[in-house]
Amino acid sequence: MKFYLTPLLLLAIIFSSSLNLTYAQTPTSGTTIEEIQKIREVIQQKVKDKLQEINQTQAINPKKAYVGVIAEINDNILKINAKDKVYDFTISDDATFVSLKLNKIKITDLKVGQNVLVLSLAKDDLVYAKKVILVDPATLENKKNVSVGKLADISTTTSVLILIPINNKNRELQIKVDSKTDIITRDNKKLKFSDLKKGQKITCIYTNGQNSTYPALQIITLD
Amino acid sequence: MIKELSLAILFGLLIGFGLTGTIYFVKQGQSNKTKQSLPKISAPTSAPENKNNDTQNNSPDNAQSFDLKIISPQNNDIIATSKTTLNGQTDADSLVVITTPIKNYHLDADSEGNFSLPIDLEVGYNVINITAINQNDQEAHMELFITYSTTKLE
Repeated sequence: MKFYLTPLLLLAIIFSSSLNLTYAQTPTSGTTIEEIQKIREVIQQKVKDKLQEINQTQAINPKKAYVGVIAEINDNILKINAKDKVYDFTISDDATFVSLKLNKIKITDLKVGQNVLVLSLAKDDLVYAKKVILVDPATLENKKNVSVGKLADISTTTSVLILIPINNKNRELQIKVDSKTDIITRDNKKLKFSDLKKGQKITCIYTNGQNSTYPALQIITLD
Repeated sequence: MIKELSLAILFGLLIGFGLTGTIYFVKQGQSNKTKQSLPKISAPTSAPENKNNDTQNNSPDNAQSFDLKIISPQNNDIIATSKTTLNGQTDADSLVVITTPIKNYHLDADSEGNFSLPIDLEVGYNVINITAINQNDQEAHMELFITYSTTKLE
């Protein structure tokens, strides 16, 4: 029995190991090579981007200003809630405080919930609030909007344009053109209202208006 | 004797092939599973994420899909002069429209997407809206907050 088993086992081991080796040494398939190449390219690109980013890194300006709502205030600490995050400041010994009417006020005049503009200075790992100004957030907004679209209609009698924004074709913007509206080409040539044509592609800078009609500040023709 | 040896070789071959075949199929199965579970790696494109952008574009038709970034000045910077130069990067040859509380500007980005423009600031907090429109009419928007103040902070 031993006589049969020994060569049998030997042969089995030799065959299985030799074929396994062959399998392991088989070059990877085309798809795998492509994937490896893609991974290489992605890594190379990432490294390139990172290097570019490092080269472009500038010294951080220690003077920063933030607008937010006072969340906490005491003699030393000011915490404000801004749009995206909470900012903590150490109130500087020489900090000044200013009212909405730009008069000097005391720190005790500042209350939680008030909107402020904080002028700060980063120094020795701390961010010092150097000047705290009460503000009305509505006056700080930039109410100008920019829209790119095609002119669907032009009313010469009312000087109103109908603009269909390229990014939202379901919307119709009624744009009011007046004497203050600057109508220009992309390369800054002056145009008249009568130069605008239906179907023309334009970029329009407009402000918030009444009755869904927006006053146009500037129209730039694109074609 | 020869008969026995032949039988042994035959059995050996059968077992060897059997084992090898089994191992081969098992390994192939594992390899396919790994391939399927690997995340798809897309080749780098010119349309990376736009984390810092405050998108005003709420439209599904032509969603923002390209990059617009301001290299200088940095967001929330305090600047002691009434003029500053905006340096940024976007898609090549895009139209860049910049609105400040006091003025509107537009310029074309160069063939590498770089743009640079001196702008006027009003005293205090300036919310600057920047819009880039690339050659496919896609839009990218962002806001930059710059404060013009001559207050001595140091």
